[in-house]
Amino acid sequence: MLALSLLGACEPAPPKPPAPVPTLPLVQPLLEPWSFLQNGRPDIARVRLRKLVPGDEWTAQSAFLMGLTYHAEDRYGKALPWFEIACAADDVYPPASHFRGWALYWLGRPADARAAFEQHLLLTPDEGDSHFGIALIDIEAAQWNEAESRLLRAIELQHSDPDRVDGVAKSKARLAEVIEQRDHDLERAQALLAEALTLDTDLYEAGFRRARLLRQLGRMHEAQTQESESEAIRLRVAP
Amino acid sequence: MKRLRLIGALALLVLAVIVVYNNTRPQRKHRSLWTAFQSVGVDPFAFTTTCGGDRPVAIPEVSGIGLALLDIDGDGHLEVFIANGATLDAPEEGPGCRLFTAPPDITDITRRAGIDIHRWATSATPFDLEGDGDTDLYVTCIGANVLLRNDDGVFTDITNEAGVGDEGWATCAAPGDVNGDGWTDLYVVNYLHWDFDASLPKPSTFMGTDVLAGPRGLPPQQDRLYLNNGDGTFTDATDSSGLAALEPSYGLNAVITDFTGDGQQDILVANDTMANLLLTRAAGEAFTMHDIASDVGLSTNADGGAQATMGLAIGDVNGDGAPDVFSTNFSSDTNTLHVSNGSGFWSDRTQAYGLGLQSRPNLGWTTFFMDLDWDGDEDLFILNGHVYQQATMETMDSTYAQTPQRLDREGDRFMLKKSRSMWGETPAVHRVGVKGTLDLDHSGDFFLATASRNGPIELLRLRGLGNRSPGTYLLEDDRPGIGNREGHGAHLEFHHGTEVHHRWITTSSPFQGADPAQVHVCLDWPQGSPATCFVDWPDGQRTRHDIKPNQHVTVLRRSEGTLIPPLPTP
Repeated sequence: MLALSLLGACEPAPPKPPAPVPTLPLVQPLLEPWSFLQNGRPDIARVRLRKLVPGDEWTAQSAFLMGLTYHAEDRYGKALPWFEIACAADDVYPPASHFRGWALYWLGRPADARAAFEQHLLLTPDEGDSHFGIALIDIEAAQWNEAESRLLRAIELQHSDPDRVDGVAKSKARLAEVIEQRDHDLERAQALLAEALTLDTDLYEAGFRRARLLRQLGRMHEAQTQESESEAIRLRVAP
Repeated sequence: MKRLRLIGALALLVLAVIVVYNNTRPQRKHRSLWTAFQSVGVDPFAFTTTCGGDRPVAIPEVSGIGLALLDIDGDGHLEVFIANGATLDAPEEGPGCRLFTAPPDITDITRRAGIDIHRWATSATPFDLEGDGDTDLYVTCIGANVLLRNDDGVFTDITNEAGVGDEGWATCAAPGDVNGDGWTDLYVVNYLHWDFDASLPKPSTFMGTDVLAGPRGLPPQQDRLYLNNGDGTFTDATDSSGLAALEPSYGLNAVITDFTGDGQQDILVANDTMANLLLTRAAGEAFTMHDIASDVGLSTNADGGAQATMGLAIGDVNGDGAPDVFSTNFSSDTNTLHVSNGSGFWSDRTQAYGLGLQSRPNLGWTTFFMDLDWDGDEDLFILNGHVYQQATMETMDSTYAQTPQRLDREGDRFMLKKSRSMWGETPAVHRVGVKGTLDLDHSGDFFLATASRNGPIELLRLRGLGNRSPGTYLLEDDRPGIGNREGHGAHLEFHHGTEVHHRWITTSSPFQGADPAQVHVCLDWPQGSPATCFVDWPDGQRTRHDIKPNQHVTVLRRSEGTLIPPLPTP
């Protein structure tokens, strides 16, 4: 270990990290499959994409979009190879690294997922959701302080963007988990979950977590109400 | 010169990091030892199980085989019972259940023992029906369950007289004294209504692939509670206890012990895709039970998700003396660890203990806590394998054949153990496993028997280096008028020096399997130093016993503190 460190000290400095790369809008032909994907028809989006891309001439954007069609169906084993193609393409498209991170995360490969999120942050340093992804991996490793830093950064980066309210909400919900497990401060944790639910009323997972904390705090009536509301939301958004 | 200074500074930094790391690591009582499961012969039982066809088209075909370890003749050596299935075209005429003596002299004693069950069996529950010291056997089936009374090693079918022939699809039965009268009751876990004569239901879709139907879309089935009358018969208390008022659910597993710490036995029921139940005794003179799982945090995972709970392992992960619950689940979900906070609540601590992400590709079945590396704390073992033969990482983010997982406890984490010399390096579809000290060769060694669908029964011995090994502890309540002699549901608390260990006798917790009523604990060395075992018996009474560490010991309730010495070596 020591010898390896000493050897390492004599090695040349590591290459400079890549500079941030802007995420360009999707090229015109991809807007049609993108619209199908946005409208909940990833299957049609795939058909359109295959028609658009002759042979194996996948660009970073088209391969990314193909991966995203599977990602939308929670089929991460199918999505990953497409994100890999997108990441390996010459025309760098930063979101591919981010979604590759999520595919790896959901496939149970936290170390690879962390590397993918970190790669994305080199290309897009201000992406709050990549910080959020790394925070979840930190939580899995019980690295509470690191998780807290990442979640606070995720909140900071997204709080002024009206399109990222759900990102702020889920970061606050996970921050509550850190506060509960590290600080054992149930009151503050439930308050954070309440804030998350105010920001994103569909976040039923936060509601169930809050109900459990309220029970532990002895606020049974509130807990029951929260649980009933969360169940109703769950049935609506994830039947 | 500048470079040398840099190298020196780096060296100091590395040393400092090492020192800090060592000082902050949790101090362990003693070093972990190398151990691994190793096969006892190739196909030692020369027997292939049956559970439907090779290409399953209906959900009963993926339910899997049942296993039980039991001592049918009271000689201290366990036998292996195989609850064997059948096929869709002849569900009542399968190849039949089997009973084998354990190695070294493996013999099929099914016929000699009077066992003749050819119905599609799913699991078996050994227990003492009448408190006569013989181990009787309740075999659950898809169809009427069977109760076999043991008279000196020969079984008689007394299902009808006993009144326990529920005709549903039972996945298992949990034994325990739920009404506190001293006799072992049976909680029969039912899955769903299945009609072998009806045409197959329309296939379902899972992650874009057509798969066999169920459980969703098929009618769930009510569980049953049979209270033991103490005379070889039971009373069906499903209605009178209030259970019939609960929503029927897709039941897969159950364990009975005192979860709430009130001195009464509770029933934890694991359901498939539906919320789990924790049935506790309601206040009042009449015996009734109600579900409090949601109130105490055991019904779902932290996100409120009802999981496909299969295997259950009961242990004390956080050292507070209250039972924590680890459960195995479907792929693309995580296994779940519910940790008690000591005040009547359980919290999902799966991620904090490192048990979440690594489990997502796996579909888990049998699981158990056990001190596998003999360092004093309990590790985890999980048998995995998918139900859908179409499963690949590309199609279902999971594979059909999967490796078992051993997760060793290191500090506050469970770490996946990888060893080339470990059994289970080759992926397979193991569903059920039962464990115990078979004492098959008078070694006191720890064994694991596993069964896979339409595959062999494997027998593994835990081999280790070093002279340390766990002790095996059994209970015997030999007071007159007590049927639950083995102490199903009891809590054992071991004190040895500064160490305290907690164990529970929950034989039914492996999926569709039954462990013997034993607990295992590896107390600190030296072996000669005394230890104490406190037992919280199922009736709520607590007794104290002086024991010798790391031996094969039976704790007798009547003659408190008396030891049965290790079995004599022939």
